[in-house]
Amino acid sequence: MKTIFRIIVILVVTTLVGGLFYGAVTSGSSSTGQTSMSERPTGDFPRPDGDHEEGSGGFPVESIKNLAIISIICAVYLNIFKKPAIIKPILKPIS
Amino acid sequence: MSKQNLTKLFLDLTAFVALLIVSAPRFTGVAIHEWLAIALSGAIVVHLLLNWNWIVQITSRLFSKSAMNSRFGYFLNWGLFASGIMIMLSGLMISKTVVPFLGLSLPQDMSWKSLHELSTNITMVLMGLHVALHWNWITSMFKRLFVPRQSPQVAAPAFNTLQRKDA
Repeated sequence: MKTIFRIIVILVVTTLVGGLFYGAVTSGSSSTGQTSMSERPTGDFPRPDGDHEEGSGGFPVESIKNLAIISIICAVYLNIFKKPAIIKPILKPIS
Repeated sequence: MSKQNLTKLFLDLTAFVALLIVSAPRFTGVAIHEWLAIALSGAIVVHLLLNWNWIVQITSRLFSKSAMNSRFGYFLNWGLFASGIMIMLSGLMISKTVVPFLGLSLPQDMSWKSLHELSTNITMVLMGLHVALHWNWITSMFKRLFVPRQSPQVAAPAFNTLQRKDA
């Protein structure tokens, strides 16, 4: 029962945040007067960066790139922000 | 190591690997990309449930002095949660497999595509910080898992020598 209540809380918060984003994006795009794909008369327009219907297999370059981003940020945070706090000596007054 | 910690570690590792796979739609193809992302959102709900007590604790004493160190992590997690929702929402809006499978059709707007990419990049940055904040927990869990604990018999000779000195 407790778990179901918690799941409902998570879903409600998710819906609220998602609704806020949806409202912000749709109102933003309508105010700028952008033409959506659905409003265009005919044809299925390809995306500029190419459609990726099927997996090309091979090497997962994007995964490696994202792993590198996460690793670099993690290393920078641990070495720049965390390390001085560890090295900093705790000075106590001599009684 | 407690069973809950082991579950947390296993779930987090699986979710992290799934996130990396999901972030490469050219490698997996759109169908796997979308369905795996749906499964990943379920794993994130379980992750939140497993850490529920921490969330409630920090929320209840958010503005007290004792929660000063946790505050950064708390707001970072909210940012990660919001960017994750943005990824899911924009992904559903440009979906080619999941939404048509459910018999729905959504108006396609090119701005969702760019938002999907932007929120993915933001999530990767926040994920790096999230991992960094919990680095000590991750390393200690791996140490407990792979490095065997010292047996309590090690202290016994020292105790015997003390007894001899006293005698």
